Order: sequence, then C-alpha cells, then structure tokens
Amino acid sequence: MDKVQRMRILAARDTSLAVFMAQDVAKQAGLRPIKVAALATAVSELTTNIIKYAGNGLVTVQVVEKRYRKGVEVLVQDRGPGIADIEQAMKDHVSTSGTLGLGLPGTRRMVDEFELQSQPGEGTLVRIVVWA
Amino acid sequence: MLQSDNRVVLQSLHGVVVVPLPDPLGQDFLSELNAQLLQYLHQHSVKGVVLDMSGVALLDGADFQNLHRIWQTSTLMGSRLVLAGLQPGVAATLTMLNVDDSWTTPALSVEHAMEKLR
Repeated sequence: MDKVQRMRILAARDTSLAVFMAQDVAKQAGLRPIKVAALATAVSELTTNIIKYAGNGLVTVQVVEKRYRKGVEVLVQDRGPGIADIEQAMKDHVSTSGTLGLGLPGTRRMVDEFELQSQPGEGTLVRIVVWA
Repeated sequence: MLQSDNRVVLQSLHGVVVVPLPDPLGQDFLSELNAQLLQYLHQHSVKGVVLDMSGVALLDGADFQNLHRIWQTSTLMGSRLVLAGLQPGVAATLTMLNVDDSWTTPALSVEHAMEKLR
C-alpha cells in the first residue's frame, strides 16, 4: 500500500508545494511527462480555488492501482462557501469579472476521473485520478 | 497560480529582448516581469520580445492570463511578443483548459522565434 501524502493549503505558496507533491508522486507512479503536467496543472487550478474562495483546505495524494495499472488520486477539499450551481460551474465560461472562473471544466478534461461534491455553506470536495 | 521568486532576466540579442522564464512561474514573477518589460520597452527600441518557455513545466489558467497581460503591454509599446519552446505537456494542458490563445505567436525555440521577428 502506497503512502498517503497530505498537505494543508493555508496560503498561496502552499499551492506550489501541493503541485510539487503531486508531481513527485506522479513520477514515482510512472506517469508519462504529459500526464504529470496534466495532473500538476489540475492540482494548481483546484488549490488556487481554495485560496481564492475558501481560504484554506486540504490536499491528499496517493498512488492507486486498478487491474495492475497505476495511477495517482488527488483529493482537494475545503470547508468554504461551496458551489451553489455545480452545473453552471462545470460550463466553459469567462466570469463577469473577466477572470477564468473556477477552471473546473478544463480540470475535468485534464484528468481521467473527476468527481465533485459540494454543498453551499459546507464546502467542496474534488477527487481526480490520472492513470499511467 | 504558483509562487516563485521574482528574479527577472532581460537579455538583449540582435535587437530582441529574450526572457528566460523560471519554473514555477507564479503571479509575483509575472507581475514583476510585466513591470520591468514595460520600463525596458519604454527606454529601448526593440524589434520584439521572446519569452523562453522551454523550462516551464506547468502553466495554469492564471499564469496564462498573466502572460496575456504581458503580451498586451508589449503590443501597446509597439513590440511583437513570441512564446518560444512550449513543452508538449504545457501545450496539451492549455488546449484542455480551453483558454483563448488567439493572441499567441508560438515558436518551437528561441532561434525559431528570432527568425520570426527578423
């Protein structure tokens, strides 16, 4: 059983550390460079959302295995305001403030598995997996 | 939105400013680059700007938005800007992020970029 790595996201610099952590685990799991880049970018997008919208959160990274195939699973969770309209958040759009929005549709395209659970006022949990 | 130190290196080469970008990029570095590049373009006559992306392994949506601002700055100062040496993983993730890349002038390498700016 591979070790589970956890990191608290408390400040913007922690997003970099979470990305490095995910990159290291992805390389150890034997992911190709293009998949490592996709996973790292997805973690960057999701942890940036924590800083922007929730203030703090937690990232958990571990190697997973299915039918002799290795992958990397990342859980990104926070107890922030949550997402009121998940369907809207998963649409490609540019927000009215001119920012890129939550980046969730792009993140979903970058990974092999994507699950999002969110309740307004209770927080958000995103689970992503990239397979080797 | 990764964090990195803010050391900006502007290299002048045959009338072109070449800027090697660090990995990770980060908002602080890109803001500093924008400020220093603006000052440089105001003081010098240059044919163009080449951002050497060959060392950048990750570019998220916020970083790309900051690069767009740097392109806007360069353009307003009368200079062309070329993104050189994008890694395959970065190019792939940018397409998956579905960002607007219509403003970019890409080149495979700094040498290729210099040829484009001739």
